[in-house]
Amino acid sequence: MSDKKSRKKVPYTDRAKRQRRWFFFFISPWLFGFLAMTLGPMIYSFAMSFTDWDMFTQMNFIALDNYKQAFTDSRFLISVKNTFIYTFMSVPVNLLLSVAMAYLLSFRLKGMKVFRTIYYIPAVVPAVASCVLFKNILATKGILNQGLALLGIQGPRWLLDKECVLGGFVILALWTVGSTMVLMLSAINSVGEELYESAHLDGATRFQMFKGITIPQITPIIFFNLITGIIGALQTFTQVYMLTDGGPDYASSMIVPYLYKNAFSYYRMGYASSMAWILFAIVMVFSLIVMKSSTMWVFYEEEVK
Amino acid sequence: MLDKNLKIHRKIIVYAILTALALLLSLPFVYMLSISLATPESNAKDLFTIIPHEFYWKNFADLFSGAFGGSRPVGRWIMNTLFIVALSICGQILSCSMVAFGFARMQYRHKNKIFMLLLATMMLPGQITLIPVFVMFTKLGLYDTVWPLIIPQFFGSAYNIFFTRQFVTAVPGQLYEAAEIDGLNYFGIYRKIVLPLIKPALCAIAIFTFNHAWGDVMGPLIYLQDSDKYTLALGVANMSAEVNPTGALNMSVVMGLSLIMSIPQIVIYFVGQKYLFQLNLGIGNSGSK
Repeated sequence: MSDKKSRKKVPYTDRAKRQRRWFFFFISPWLFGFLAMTLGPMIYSFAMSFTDWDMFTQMNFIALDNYKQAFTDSRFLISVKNTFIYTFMSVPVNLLLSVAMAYLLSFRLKGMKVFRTIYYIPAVVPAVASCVLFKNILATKGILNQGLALLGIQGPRWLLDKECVLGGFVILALWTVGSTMVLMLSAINSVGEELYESAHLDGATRFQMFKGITIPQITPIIFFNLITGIIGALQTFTQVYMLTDGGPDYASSMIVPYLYKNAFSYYRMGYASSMAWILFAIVMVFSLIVMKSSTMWVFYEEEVK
Repeated sequence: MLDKNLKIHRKIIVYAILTALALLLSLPFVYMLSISLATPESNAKDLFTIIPHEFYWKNFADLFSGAFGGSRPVGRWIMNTLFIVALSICGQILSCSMVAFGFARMQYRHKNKIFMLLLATMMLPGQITLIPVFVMFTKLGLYDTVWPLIIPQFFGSAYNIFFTRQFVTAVPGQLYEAAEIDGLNYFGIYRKIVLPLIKPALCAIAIFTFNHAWGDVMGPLIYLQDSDKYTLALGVANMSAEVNPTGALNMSVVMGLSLIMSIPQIVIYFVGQKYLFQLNLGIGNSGSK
């Protein structure tokens, strides 16, 4: 409607028409993918979450039953709980450790490139390979417990222990801290030298500078890593699938592996779809909370001016 | 930072912490090597040392001769994975560069709204579309083929498109004007001017795509059934679930294959460092500047 009006006022020139045609030509791969692989499936998935479809028999509309079931399914609830515990343990520890390591690497000393490489390499190892490795490291007689024994500590059975299994997952996550660390490092290295120099003239100690200059200056990157870290941890799959398959006794079951099982082992497509939407809601709520809170602690350059 | 005047005892402390961390993070690799070279006897005892003390190279030879039993054609898996990786890289480079060029240089009234839509798709967890897309590919008769893993790559990923667009925008406008005067149409400009200039970005995309396609488990797990069609990642996952300490398929064999699987990514990290660092800086600056 308004389209027609404005078109009368400002007629499309030939050039503009040509540009529009070429625009759609160039974005056509993404546009087609968006319609066929994102928007269409989203609508389909939403509709499916209100049915009892199992891929083979007829689809019946069952209204909110899947969602009601999810909130009473103790295995789903424990999966949600485990996912939250894992997220709340792994993300903060990962952030703290990556900032600390990046700060140490930002010292202008010899050999820093070597250390940077050593810290980063575990992050490029494929998840499958690192899972096979940590299955051994966290084994009852694995090196972690061998090392703890040297210190006189009797290590737990990690992946076989209901209390410790999520802790074992956090240890695996910490091994790949390098991917977060390099982002922190490039942020720390781009903090303006003049800020430190003037603070130094004012007699600030190194720790005061770290707290008062480095940390506030890199809060945008901490924010970025916090958001991506939370979203990633909420969708944990490979570790659970490879290391424990949710065991022992659902102590390490998480949302996505449980969803996967329902969809591709039990063919409960409708129920699995409703879980996907619950996960989506959880991701959204967490993202919004972090974004809202960011005005209180994320520091942007413009505010100073 | 002002580190020239760092006191010697502080330097020692910094180096001590750095070295301790380096040891902690690299010991797992030594353990990996140690396990993959352990003899069947050590496997049966289920006890591995951290420092390799046995050098049973036969584990690696066995991997490719299929001596560890079952239908596990490791060489085949590697070829399957390379096929998927190669086509995925072609698909991502082609689609992302085209779409990025469209968004960066073509004019359309609602362009920015469409671009916001593209960015919004990055927030969507993949699990939402997982099941319908699976149903769609199954209905198309592509279940148990590699195509469901390849075809989506030809539509570009939002993240890669966003990343490439930053590079296309940086190409100076005078180049386009000159090209238009020379009579190139927009496709010619894209192919002859933009593509050569954004090569570093395309290399970075090739690396991201390699890393993803090489290590992906869930995709192959859902779509591939016949063990002849497995990818290496799925093969390792599958073998790891069937490890038997006293059998031919012991932990050393699986660990050896995990080690082989990690090597390309480590090599690519060293070769591609300079391209990857662009990305780090790209993200690093978008936040702090």
